[in-house]
Amino acid sequence: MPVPHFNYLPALSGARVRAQKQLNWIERTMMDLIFIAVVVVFFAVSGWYVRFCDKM
Amino acid sequence: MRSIDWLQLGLFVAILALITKPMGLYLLRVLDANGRTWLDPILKPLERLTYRLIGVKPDVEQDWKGYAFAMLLFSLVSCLFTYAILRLQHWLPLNPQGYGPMSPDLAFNTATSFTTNTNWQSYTGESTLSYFAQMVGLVIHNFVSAATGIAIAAALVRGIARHSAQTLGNFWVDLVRTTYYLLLPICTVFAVFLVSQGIIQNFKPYTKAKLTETYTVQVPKTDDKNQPVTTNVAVMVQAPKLDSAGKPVMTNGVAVMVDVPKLDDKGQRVMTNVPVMVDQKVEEQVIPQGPVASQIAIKMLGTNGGGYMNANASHPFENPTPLSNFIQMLSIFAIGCGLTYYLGRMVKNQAHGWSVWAAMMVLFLAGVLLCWHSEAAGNPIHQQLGVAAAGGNMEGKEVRFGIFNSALFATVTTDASCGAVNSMHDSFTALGGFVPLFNIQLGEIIVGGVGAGLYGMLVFVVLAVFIAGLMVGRTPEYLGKKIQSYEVKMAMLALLVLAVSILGFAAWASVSTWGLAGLNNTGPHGLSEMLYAYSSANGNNGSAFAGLSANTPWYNTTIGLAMLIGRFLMIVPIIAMAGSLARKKIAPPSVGTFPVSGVTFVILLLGTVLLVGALNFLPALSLGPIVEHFLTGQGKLY
Repeated sequence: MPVPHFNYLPALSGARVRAQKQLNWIERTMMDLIFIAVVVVFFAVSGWYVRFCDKM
Repeated sequence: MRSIDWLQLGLFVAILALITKPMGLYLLRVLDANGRTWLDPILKPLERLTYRLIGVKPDVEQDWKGYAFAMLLFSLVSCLFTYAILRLQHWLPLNPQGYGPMSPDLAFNTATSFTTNTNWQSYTGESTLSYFAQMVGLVIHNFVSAATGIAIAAALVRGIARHSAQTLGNFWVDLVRTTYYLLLPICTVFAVFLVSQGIIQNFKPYTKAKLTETYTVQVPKTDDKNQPVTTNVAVMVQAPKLDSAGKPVMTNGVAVMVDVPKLDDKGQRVMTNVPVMVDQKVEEQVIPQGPVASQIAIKMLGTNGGGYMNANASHPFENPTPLSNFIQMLSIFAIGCGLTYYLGRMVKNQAHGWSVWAAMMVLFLAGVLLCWHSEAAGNPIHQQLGVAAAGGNMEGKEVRFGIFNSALFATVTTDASCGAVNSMHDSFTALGGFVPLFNIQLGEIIVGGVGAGLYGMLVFVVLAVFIAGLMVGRTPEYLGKKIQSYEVKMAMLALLVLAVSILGFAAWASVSTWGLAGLNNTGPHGLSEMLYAYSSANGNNGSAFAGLSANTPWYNTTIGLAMLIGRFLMIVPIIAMAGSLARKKIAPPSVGTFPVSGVTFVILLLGTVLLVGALNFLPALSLGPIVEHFLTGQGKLY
């Protein structure tokens, strides 16, 4: 008997693939910059958090 | 609950007890910058070269702030490095399948996931990532994120053990030595063992197998330009069925519902575009290949948990035999157990190390027994209907492993911050699923992630000693060091960050459109899915309850943030506490000193862990798995 299919692959769903293709490179670059900024800001906040713990 | 399974459980605990001491003794050598190991002739030149390349003076130790900044800087750089690989994998080598780049939100989620030792995977490894991305982007993190956790635990233990000291060691030295002398050699041997069991290790393109039984699936129809073909159809809604007199048709007091076209304000049918679906016959199956064994070895030993395949440790290429399953579970706990022995040796109180180990084992056994019993009892509705042929709940379980090995694996992987799975936790019974969820919410201190488990448990030890001091009206002392307001503030900060982030994100998701859109189950089970996702992310576990479509920009972003918060905002106050403890003098024990070994201490520690866990999470758990358990008994499923 064939094994029933579960939707394990939301990453590959048609809607997501189409949406991804529709993003032009400017949008993708902007999103890259946003996520890189999120990471950098988080670690900057963590650096401040070290000082916060020191002064507590 | 078969006798052979009891035997396996006994064997598992016995072997853990046996490997704890040798692993602890080896850790003593590895975590000493001047420690000597039998690997020195091979690895010492490489270690010296590494220090020279990164400009580190191994003899210079850091205070707690220097240690924390070094850890944060390293994590920032390695996170951005992985993000770049995931976004540029289509231009990088070793990509025989020609996979494109990950989407930005998914790359953010994955990079933070592997940086934080979480290994939450919102993607399907075998159909998303190139060999290069798997090996360089992810496996390197499996080593260094595990080494970072061990380094932090070592720094905290040094803080407890040292007397009037300003420094905690050198982060870079701990990172390099743990990677070179501990993780790499064991993983090399472990990977060869896994290959002997049948796990693959190659760089071949994926192969195709002809199916003996073909089947048909429905796929969207595409035009000449590969664009989906759509058709305009009326939107249907449910409405009560009416009889000829215009009254609702009732059956057993309930209105009969039928589909009717939805109308707009002008009485016109509301139309929408839907894809045209066509039948496609499936005649062959793609079989993934790749360097799997090397990834699985560190995935287990380093309590990372990220599978090469989406099916993780239930896939025959990741976990082919009962022996591979057993050894993989042992490897998850091996370093965590060894670290309790390391603690005992460092503080010159081996009974304390064993007491911490015993507290972990009590919680572990309680979790296994509850999970195993619930799964073996099965679904009560199936029992009532007389269709429970499997002798328990086998939904979502690999038949090769069965009920006990699935329950044991689920408990082990969530006691530690591993997150590898050999069954679908979402398919467990309500109480069976409660165990992994609560394990994670306790902070994964039951052996725990490599390093993370010990430093998490030591936070509870500080709290337990503090509570004991309050009860007897004396200044609390831990191994001769006075526990004062600063240490308690840092301990509480570490614990509260976790609780606030888990409950805050889960609450946000449970009332937002983006959160509810990802659910595949309603009611308390749906809440459990969201609660599990954020518990797993904050606890840096990485296992998923499944049933939640989390690969959306909102989920990817919030889960990514939760992983960062759960890792780094917890570690910083712990290193601060280590720095404070290191500066204190060690006072000799007196009549009023609370003993940190023995049965009384273990009971107090267990009480503290369970009380804090219950106070933080019981209200949320009551709305999720606990109420689901009682509703299942009444015949309601979600």
